[in-house]
Amino acid sequence: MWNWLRKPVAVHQRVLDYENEHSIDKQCLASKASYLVLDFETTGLDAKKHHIVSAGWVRISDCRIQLNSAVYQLVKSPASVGQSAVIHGLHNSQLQQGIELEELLSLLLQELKGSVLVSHHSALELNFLKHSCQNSFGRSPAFKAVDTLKLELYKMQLKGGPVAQNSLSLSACLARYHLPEVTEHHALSDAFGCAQLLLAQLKTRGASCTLAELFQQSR
Amino acid sequence: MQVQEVVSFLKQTPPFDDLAPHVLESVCRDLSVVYIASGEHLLPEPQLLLIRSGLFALNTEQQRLTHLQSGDFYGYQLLLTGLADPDTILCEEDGLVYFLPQQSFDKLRHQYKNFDLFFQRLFSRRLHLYQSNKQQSTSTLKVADLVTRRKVSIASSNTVQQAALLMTEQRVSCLLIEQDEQLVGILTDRDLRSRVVAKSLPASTTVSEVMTKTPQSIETDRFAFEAIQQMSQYNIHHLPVEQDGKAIGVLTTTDLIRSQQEHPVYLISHIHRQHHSEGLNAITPQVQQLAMQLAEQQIPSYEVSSVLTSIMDALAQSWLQIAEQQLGPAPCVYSWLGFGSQARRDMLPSADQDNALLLEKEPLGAVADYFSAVAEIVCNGLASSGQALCDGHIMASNPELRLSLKGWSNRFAKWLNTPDPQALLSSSIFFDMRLIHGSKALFNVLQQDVLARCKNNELFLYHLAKNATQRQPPLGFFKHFLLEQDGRQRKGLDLKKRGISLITDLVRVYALSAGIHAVNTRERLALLQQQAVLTQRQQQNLQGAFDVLAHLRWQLQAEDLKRGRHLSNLLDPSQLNLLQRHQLKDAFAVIIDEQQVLRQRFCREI
Repeated sequence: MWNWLRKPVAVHQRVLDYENEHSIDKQCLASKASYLVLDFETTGLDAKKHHIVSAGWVRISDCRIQLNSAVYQLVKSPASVGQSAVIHGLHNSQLQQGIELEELLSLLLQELKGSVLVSHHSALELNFLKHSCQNSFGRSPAFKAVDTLKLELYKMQLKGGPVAQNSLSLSACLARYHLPEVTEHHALSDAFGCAQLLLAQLKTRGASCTLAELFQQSR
Repeated sequence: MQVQEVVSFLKQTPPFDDLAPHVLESVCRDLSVVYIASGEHLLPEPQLLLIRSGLFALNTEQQRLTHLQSGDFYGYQLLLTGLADPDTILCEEDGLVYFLPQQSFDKLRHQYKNFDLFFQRLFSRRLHLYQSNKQQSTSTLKVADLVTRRKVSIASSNTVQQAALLMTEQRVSCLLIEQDEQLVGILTDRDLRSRVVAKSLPASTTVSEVMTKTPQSIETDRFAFEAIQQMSQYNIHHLPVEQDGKAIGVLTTTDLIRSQQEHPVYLISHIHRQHHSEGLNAITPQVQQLAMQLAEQQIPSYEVSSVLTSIMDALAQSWLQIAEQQLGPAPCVYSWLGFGSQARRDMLPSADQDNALLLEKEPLGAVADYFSAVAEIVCNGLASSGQALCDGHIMASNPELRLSLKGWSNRFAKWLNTPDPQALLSSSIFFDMRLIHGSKALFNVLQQDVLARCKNNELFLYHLAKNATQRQPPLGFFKHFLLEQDGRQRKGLDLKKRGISLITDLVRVYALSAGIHAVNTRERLALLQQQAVLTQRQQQNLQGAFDVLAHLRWQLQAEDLKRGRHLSNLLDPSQLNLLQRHQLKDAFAVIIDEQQVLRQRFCREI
C-alpha cells in the first residue's frame, strides 16, 4: 500500500512491446477473430488490496476452443490467501510453487498480442491486470475486453423484463445455453466455461456481428 | 493442467475410459471444441467428432436417420478408410462437439490396440465384439493359470520327419519353431497333414518351408478370455504363450475348454450318477449356482447356454432312466425330443420344458399306457429339478405329442400345407428339434422327412418369412429405444421377444429353405454362409447381434437369480453403460436390416 512512495520505474519493455504490436481490427467479423479467454482467482475483489492467486486461459480461433492453448498458472502471493482459500481452494503452500506475478504478466502480454481479451465479468480481470502491470512494470497498457456477462445482460435487456439476481453468474448462463457445467472458482475451468459461453453467444448474434459490436455490448 | 470437465467426460466415454490418466490429458490437449446451433450442418472434415452435448440428426445415404447424442462418435469412417460418406448431420438441439485431429486419432490407434479395435468394430457395426479392458479385469483367469509350462521346440532347419518324430515322442500336437531363442514359427499336426502329406512333399522337407511363420502369440499375464478371442478371431487351435518375449509353452483349445467346463462336467457326471429321484430333485440350486458363476466369468453367453443345455439334457436322460427302472423296459424303440431353445442349445435359467416323444409303434393300448406313464414321470421330474412345466403343454405328457413317425410326419405335413397362424406359431417351436435321448435312427428319419418337405415349399417359406418379420426390434424412427411393459409392471426392452427370437426366427427361415439339419443358431449361420445362402457380412452381423442380445439377457437373468427375483427378459436401458447402449442399438439395427432382406427374398408376390 506504500506503492505511491516508490520511485517511478522505467516503463518495462514488455509493456512497450505490447503497445507496439497489439492491434485489433474492430471491423473484423466476430467469428473470425482470435480470442484469449481469461479468468483470475484472487484473494478478494479489490485490485488495490488483493492479489491474483491463479490464472487460467484458453484460446479461441476460428470459433473453436483450442485446448492445446489451455494454460493454468498458480501465482506466488505476497501475502497470505487468508479466508479466500475457502472460495478458490488454494492454500499458501501450493501457491509457493507458483510463478512470480511479473512472470505471469509477461506471459499474458505475450499471449494477448493480436487477440481479444474475454472474461466473464471482465471488470475484475481488467482491474487486476491494470494494477498488477502498473506495480510491476510502471505502466499498464490500455486493456479492453469482451465481457460475456455484459453480452448476456445486453441480450436480456433487449428481450425486456426484469433480470433476476444470479441469472448472470457463469453457471446460470451456461445452464441457459444447455452447456455442461464447470467447476466454479477454478481459473482454468471458469475460463473454459466462459469460452463455451462466448461460442454460444457468437452463434446467437449471427454471422455478420463484428468485434466493434461485441465491445459496444460489453460496456 | 487440462480442463477437468473435458478430462472427466473422456474418462467416462469408451474407448477413452481405458486410457491412462496421463494419456487422457494429452488427448485432451489435442481437442478443439465447437459450438453448433440448431439448424446448422456439421461439415465433414478429417477429424474424429465426439458429441459432448446437444442432438444431431445423421442422415446416411441409405436414408436412415440416426440421432447422435452425448458420447456418440462420427468421422471415424473417413479416418479409417479415407472415404467420405455422403452423410449429412443436422444439429437439432444446440450442442458442443469435440474434434480430435486425424494425427492424434491415428497415434492412439497405433499405440492402444483396444482403442483401435473399438473404432474398427464401431465402423463394421460389430461393437459387440469389443471388450473394454475394465470388463476383462473382472474375469480372473489368466493365460498363466492355464498354460502348461512345457515347451517342445525344434529349429527350422530340421526336416519335417524329425519334427513328426519329436511330436510323437513328446505326445504333442504342435511344435514351436525357434531361432536364437526367438519364436519364429509354429508347426501343428494339421500342418503336417495338409501342407506335407496332402501335397506329397518328401520327408526331407525342412520345417521352415511348411511352418506358419511369425505366428500369433499371447503373453502370460493376459486374460484367458483374450486368448479365446484371439484364437477364434484367427481360427487357430494352438496359441504360443510368451513371457518376457520368450516362448514358454502353447495354449490349446483343449486347455481352454477344460478350464471353463470344469464345473459343468462335474455337475453333468454328477447328474448321470443319480439313480433316485431325490438326488435329481436336489439339483436345482446347484444348476442355478453354476449358471450364476458362468455368467460372472464373462464367458461368451452361447457357451454358457450350451453348458446349461447339456445339463438339462443330462437331467432328461437321467429321468428317463429312472422311468425305465420303475416301469420296466420300453415296449418299442423311441426318441425323446427337445424343441425350441433346448433344441437350439440356447437355454437360459428361465427356460421351460418343450419336449415330446417319437415312437416306433403307434401309441395304442399297452404302448400308449407305457409312454404316458414315462412322460408323466419325466415331465414332473424335470419340473422338480427346476425346469418349469410348459404353459402351452408342449410336453411329452400331452398325448398329442406322443406320436409315431407317421403321426409326426402327418402333423408336420399339415403345418406345412396349411400355414395358418397356429401352424406358424407351432413352426417356431417344433421346427427346431433335437434328439435328447433314445433312437438316433428314428429321429433322423423324421428330420429328413421334415426338411425335405420344407425345402422349396415356397408358400410355406413365404408365410414363415412374413411371420418372422412381423415383430420389429424396439428401435424407434429416431433410433431411440421403445419400452414396453410386462405383466409385472416392469418397463423395458424385451430382449427375447423383440431381439433374440427375431434372429432365431429369421435364421430358421433360411435354414429350412436350405435344408440345413443344424438347429443351433450359430451353427445354422455358419452353414448358411458356407453354402453361400448368406454373405459373410450377413453372417457376422447376425451372429454379432445375437451374441450381444444373448449376453445382455444372460446378465439380466443372472442378476435376477442373484437377487432371487422373477426371471425376466425385460431390460431397463437406463441400466446400460454407454458402450452397451451403442452395442444394443447396433444389434437392433442389424435385425431391422436383415428383416428387410428376408422379406425381399421370400415375400415377393408368388
